[in-house]
Amino acid sequence: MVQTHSVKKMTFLQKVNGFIQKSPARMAIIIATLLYGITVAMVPTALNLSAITSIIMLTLLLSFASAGQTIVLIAGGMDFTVGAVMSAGAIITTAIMNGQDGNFVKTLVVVLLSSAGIGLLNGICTVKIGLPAMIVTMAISNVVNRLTYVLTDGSPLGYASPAFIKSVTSKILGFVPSLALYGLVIFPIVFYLLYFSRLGKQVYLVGNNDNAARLNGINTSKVKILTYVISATLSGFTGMLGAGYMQSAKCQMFDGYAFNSLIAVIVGGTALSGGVGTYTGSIAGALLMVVLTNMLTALSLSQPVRNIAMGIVMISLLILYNREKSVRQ
Amino acid sequence: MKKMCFIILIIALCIPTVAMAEDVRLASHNAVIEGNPYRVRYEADIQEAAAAAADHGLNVSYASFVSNWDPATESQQLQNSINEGYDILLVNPVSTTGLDPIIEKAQDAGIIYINADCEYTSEDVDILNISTDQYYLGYKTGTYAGEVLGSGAKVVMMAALEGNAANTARQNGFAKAIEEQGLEVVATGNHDWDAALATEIMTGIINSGVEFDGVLISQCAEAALAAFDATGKPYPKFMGFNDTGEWMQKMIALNDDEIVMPFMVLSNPPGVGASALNFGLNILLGKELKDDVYNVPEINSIWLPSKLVFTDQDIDNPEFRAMAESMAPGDAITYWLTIDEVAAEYFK
Repeated sequence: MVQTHSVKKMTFLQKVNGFIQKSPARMAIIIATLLYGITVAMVPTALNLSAITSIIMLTLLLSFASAGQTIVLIAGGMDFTVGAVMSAGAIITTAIMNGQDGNFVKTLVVVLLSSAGIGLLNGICTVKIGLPAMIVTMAISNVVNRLTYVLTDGSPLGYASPAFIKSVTSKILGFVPSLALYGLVIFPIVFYLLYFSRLGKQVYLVGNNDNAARLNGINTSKVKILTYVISATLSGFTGMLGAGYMQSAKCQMFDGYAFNSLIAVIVGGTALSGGVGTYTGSIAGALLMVVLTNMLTALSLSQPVRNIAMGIVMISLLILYNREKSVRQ
Repeated sequence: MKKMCFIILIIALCIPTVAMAEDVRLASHNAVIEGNPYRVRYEADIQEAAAAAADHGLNVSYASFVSNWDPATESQQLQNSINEGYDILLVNPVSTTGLDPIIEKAQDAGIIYINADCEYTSEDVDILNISTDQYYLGYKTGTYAGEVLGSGAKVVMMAALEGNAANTARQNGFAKAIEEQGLEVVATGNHDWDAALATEIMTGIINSGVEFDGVLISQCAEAALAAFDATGKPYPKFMGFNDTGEWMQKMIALNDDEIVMPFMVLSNPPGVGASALNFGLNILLGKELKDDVYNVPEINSIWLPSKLVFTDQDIDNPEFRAMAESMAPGDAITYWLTIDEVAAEYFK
């Protein structure tokens, strides 16, 4: 009897595991919905339009930051400069805009070019010099942070422009954050890059099996470097939007996004070993992260308890998600 | 010839003065600097105070060490400073205890060891603690919130970093005022002095749908205010305190025509490090501290008062407006006690 019960239990767990493996994005959305349901059950006032607006807004911001990370991870790399590049992008934004309208294009060009430069450096150090991606991007992240500190004396100047702030924080139909309009640009670009472009196919092939990709005539170095450039560019642009959300900037303001974007991407089903993953999954992972954070705050837990709870939930999710067999090399 | 003699005379008079200047080597140890505008200003103020010591015949050279919140690195750096023979160690510690052996070693070597800003609470060593009166910051803010909102008002309490000595003292002050004023705390959070986290936590509290009248916050107020803009939630009836240029500038912009949101600005000067240095220099000059100067005698702790207080009542105060306009967004209000001021107030 005991044995039968044990077999049934294992079968159920295997079914759950299989379901998660089959569609991590769907699973992340289900867990996020459950968590929000629990939040509302425990704190009924948490069900309101403002909460939904904020969840959408923060999910969008994290999913933009996760876009580049997804591409890099699929190609077999890792990018810890996301947070530092976002902070630098925010600092550049407030410095150039300085609270005045009319500098959007100039800001955009400077942010994108400087971010792409950092991405290029990441790519060259990782691919051409052959240093470990995690170490290199962490080191470059430190360099970028120190540079922002040196260039601003630790106290960045200026504010985002009023029109830009409005373009990020306004509400469409009373509850959809206008930040979603930026999503109408970013999401199609990322989906096109990953699923419909030649580069996207090469990214999956390189991440799946670097040697096989090279033997098939793919310039793997070029592909990998490009993923870092794309990641940094998207991070820089997200930092710019973050400046609109926060209205001002501080050094290392978005450092937490390096970790959060990585978790969102992994929770969304992208394998650390490369070659596997979807951007839809990363968006769902971002939603799950935001809903979880929202829940811990709504429950009025102290910060240390929040951190512990966040850690436990994240580890549990990663155990469930990361049980996929290694991709054949 | 007369001119030449005059020049020689001037040079001759100057030589003894130069020779008499005492060389002092100062090592400033911090848990963190980069990314923290308060700490950046803290170090800059120490450098300025060090340069100003020349007026007292002290030629202070300065070196800065940052442990990045790593106690092991902090111990190693302090050990190096002892080995290199610095005269004064000015330490803003990673933690409130754990440095006793290093402190004893420094004192055995004849080094003046002063703990600045965050208190070092071990009672087993005999060092001077110099910090700003953090209790007052919490108490003053809570009291003013009570006056503005009235008894029974509901407030959000957003603290800084759990376990940090300054935060603990502030929270004690907030708690006392909340009790005295009859306020009700309906939601709590910690922002850890992280602007993005402050916005995130405030957003979460707004999202929870809890009704509140005011926000008591231990700095990072401008970041919490951004959550109201992003969510579209009307501003609370009170928010405070903070001490940055950004907060002051925003309060002026918001309340310029009429008072939309009562607020509080309190100084928590980064110059506390420079004041602490001037305590050290007075000791170096052979002066002795008065007996009744300690706020916490068990740990030789002196709390320097917060000098500047601004509220919505000061919206037309020229001093407030001039200060706000002259500051960068991330700058904090700063000042420090000079060598003479410290001597007059705290030394025999």
